[in-house]
Amino acid sequence: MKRTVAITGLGAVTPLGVGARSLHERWSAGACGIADGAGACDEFAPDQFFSVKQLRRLDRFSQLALVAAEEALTEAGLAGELGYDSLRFGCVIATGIGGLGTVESQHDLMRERGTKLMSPLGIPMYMPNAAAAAVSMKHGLRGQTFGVVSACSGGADDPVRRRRRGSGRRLGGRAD
Amino acid sequence: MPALTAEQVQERVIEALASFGPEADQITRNATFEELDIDSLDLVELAQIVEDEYGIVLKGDDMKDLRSVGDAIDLIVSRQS
Repeated sequence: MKRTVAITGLGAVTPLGVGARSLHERWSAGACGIADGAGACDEFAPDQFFSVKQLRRLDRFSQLALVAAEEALTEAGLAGELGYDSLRFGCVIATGIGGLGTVESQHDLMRERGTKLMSPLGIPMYMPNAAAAAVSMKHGLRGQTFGVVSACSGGADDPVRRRRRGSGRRLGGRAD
Repeated sequence: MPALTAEQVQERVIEALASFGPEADQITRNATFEELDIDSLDLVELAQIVEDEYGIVLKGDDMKDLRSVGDAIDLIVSRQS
């Protein structure tokens, strides 16, 4: 059965700035976000969005996802108050790897100091579904929540699954 | 290692807790972990610091009844061998 998907809100944090509008306008104008071979989100300032405690518990990929998700939900009129059955509001955020920065820092720590100082926050920060988990907890999205790991196509995989699995609302995206 | 004074432990505990999020001036002996938004994961990290720097091992059972900064300081001081 053919189903219809309506996209009601967009959000983005990219090398072309913070916000979907910035991405669209600068991309349309021919701007390139790649510098020195990297597409870093240099205009993203995490401390403008998160407390010290939050920053210690969120890998950068989850920070990016949370800010983009906030923008999308706000545009959809759903930030703060869902106004919808939260059990039917899923959250699927794809990634290529997950919290690579945390993996690297914990690996360095383990090699230099042993295992005893490894953070109890390590796994919840670097697991590939960490961004989806963080977004779902922040916004009270209690429907199906998971991370898709399918490299560069990950962000496009969620809408496909959504159409096959029936009605409801979903926050979908991708972060790395 | 020479015996640690309560003042030395308090200074280090406050420094460690401040790195977890709360403002340093909020962290007093009487401040509760609930007031400071310090949770069990933060306490695990505090225990890691204590073990690394002082060689004092604090297990989960040791930490579960801690309610205030003073409780943690007193526990650490009392565990010195």
